[in-house]
Amino acid sequence: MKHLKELAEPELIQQCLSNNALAQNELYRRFAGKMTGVCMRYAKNRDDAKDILQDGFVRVYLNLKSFKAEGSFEGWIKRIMINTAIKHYHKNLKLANNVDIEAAYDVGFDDNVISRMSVGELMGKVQVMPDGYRTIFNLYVVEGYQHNEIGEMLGISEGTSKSQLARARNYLIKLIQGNSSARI
Amino acid sequence: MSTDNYNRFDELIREKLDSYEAEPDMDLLVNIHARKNRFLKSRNLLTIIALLAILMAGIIGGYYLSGTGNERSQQTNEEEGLSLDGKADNPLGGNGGAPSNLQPSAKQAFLLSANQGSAFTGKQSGNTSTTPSLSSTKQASAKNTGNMLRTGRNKERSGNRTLSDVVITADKIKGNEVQNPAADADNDKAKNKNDKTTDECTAAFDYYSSYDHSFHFMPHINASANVSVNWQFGDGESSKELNPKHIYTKAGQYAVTLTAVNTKTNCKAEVYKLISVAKGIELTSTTIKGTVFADAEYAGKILVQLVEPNGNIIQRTITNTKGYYEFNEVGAGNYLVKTSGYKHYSSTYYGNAVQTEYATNIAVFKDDYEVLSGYDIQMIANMNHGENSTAQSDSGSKLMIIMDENNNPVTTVVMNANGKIISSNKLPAGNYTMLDAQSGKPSGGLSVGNDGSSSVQPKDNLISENQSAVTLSPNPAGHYVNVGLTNAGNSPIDVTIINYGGAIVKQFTLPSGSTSSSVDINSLSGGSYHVIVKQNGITVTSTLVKGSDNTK
Repeated sequence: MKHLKELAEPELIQQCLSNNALAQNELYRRFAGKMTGVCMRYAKNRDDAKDILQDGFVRVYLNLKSFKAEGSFEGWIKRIMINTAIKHYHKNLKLANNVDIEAAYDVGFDDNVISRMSVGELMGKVQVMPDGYRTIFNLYVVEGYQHNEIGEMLGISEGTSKSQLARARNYLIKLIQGNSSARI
Repeated sequence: MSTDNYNRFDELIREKLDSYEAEPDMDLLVNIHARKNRFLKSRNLLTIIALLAILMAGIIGGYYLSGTGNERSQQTNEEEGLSLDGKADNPLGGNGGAPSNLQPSAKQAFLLSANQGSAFTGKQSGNTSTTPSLSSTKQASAKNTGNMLRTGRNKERSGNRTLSDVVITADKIKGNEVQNPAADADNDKAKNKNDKTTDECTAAFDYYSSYDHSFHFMPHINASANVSVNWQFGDGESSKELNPKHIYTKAGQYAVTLTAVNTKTNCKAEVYKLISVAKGIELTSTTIKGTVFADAEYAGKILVQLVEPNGNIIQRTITNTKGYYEFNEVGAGNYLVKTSGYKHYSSTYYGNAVQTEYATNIAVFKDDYEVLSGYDIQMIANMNHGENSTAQSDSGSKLMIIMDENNNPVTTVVMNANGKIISSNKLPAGNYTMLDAQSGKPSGGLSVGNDGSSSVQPKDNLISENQSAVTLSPNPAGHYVNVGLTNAGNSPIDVTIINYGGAIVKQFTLPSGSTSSSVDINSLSGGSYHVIVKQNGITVTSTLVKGSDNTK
């Protein structure tokens, strides 16, 4: 018998479809690390990220049959994770519209500061962002969605998405630069 | 900042974040499988519920936010399934439920953030989910009349989002021994004591706990600049850092106070929250549990070992019929959870609550186990494993761990109270020792010959346990010995006496129904012998001592 580790993706998917728990474990093993990263970006902390990851993988297993072998499997899983993260976001918090003390204002940033940061450090900063900021920031900056798409996903207007993104950026830049005034 | 700059910034961030890859948490697999399987089992029922839910949702004009395109209804089904699932009692201690978020009201809109309940992981503690959520709902509605309330179980009702939304989710406290969840929820709402001079000056903060026991505090301050903060953690410690991290050494409730001063206006705001610390760092032991995924026929028979990095085996246990295992009272440290014996299974484990990362840093994920080749052990004779061998029945079956010559577990066999193997696995030729899986006591040796034959060398202590099945008297014996049988049975009984060299010195058959027989052993020289009594393939071995002077 061929070891599960050696199975090519399509074969592994087939095995998973027949509800082979071992194949599903292998699938998890292959993608969980990367997907934890994705979930971390959308979560406040590691616990929340785990919740999202867990829900996401249950959905991956249950919806596997709807995966068309046309696109990237990883991309498909990632989309499920992002959808799940958005679900969690909706469940946990309404959009942080209340974070509107000040209009966005220009802040500069230093390339070097960002380059020198470890991914973990940066992740920490992203996680500290208010939920609404973080979600929009991720969808736009990392995932590359457009504002109209984000608006649809989050149930907000395109304009809100834009303004929130601008604030989110400033917020993050401030965090990165360690501005201790916590001016938001 | 110009658009170009934004793009540059985005690119830098994207590059970094996209490369992030964490160690996969194998412990989650336990819950994932449990939830998936439960969902699959009850899919039909859930479909009906989901349809009803959709109908209801249609009636109240709500709509589901997620799910895209033609996947929408499917995902809705599923989501319904998941949330129902989340309510169910998870035997492995998954998601509990309790309050977590409370958004500021319109009047407090300048407070930036919701109150975030602490997030302990670990065992679900019964009904803690409902009480706190109810109580916070009550309080919140009293304070924020007219605001929309939403509980975690309610479906999304969006499109009506306002600044003043109060969001209460009853979804995610994983409360491990949160001592007074209701009180916690009540107190978790920040109380602001504003400086009388200005309404503009308030403070709020969030906190969360991480696996290393530490609590992280994040202030949200509306002052535009020049803010100094002072944190009192409630245990005598304090900090002036903006985002301090604090470790509590003892479990309990602590009032954390944030005092923020705007140094320009001298406006001072104070806010406190009560937080519950489930376990402090004085915790010295934990529970490690998990599941071994295996075919149903093996699920209850898998040996799991808790091993120190240096190879010392700390604890052994056997999975239950669902594949679960548990190690209790494990001291802090790093361990390996090892499984052994059966082909094709995988194992996950997770530790207990706060202690997790301390106790169990290493995830072992075994999915491809080599198929043992060798011989089926059909039956092991001469064994009787009842602690009280008088109570002999099949219910007394035990799991025996077969260890190879290097003391590594190879496989397990299930043995009934009479020492008969009920189920076994193939074993290569060689010499093995057996351990009682429950007591961990050595229970004899096992040899598998190159011809596939198997034999057992019972330990002396086992022979003594057999004496209630077969009695020898007198013992030490003289000219004769009386072989007594507690249960006669209705089959002939073979009696064989062998010397310690293994040679047969006497052999005879008793008719069925015999309860005792006097055996002439006058011809035997003095020394120790095994008396092997065999009936219906079940064998009991006793030790007989023959006096050397032949006079007794």
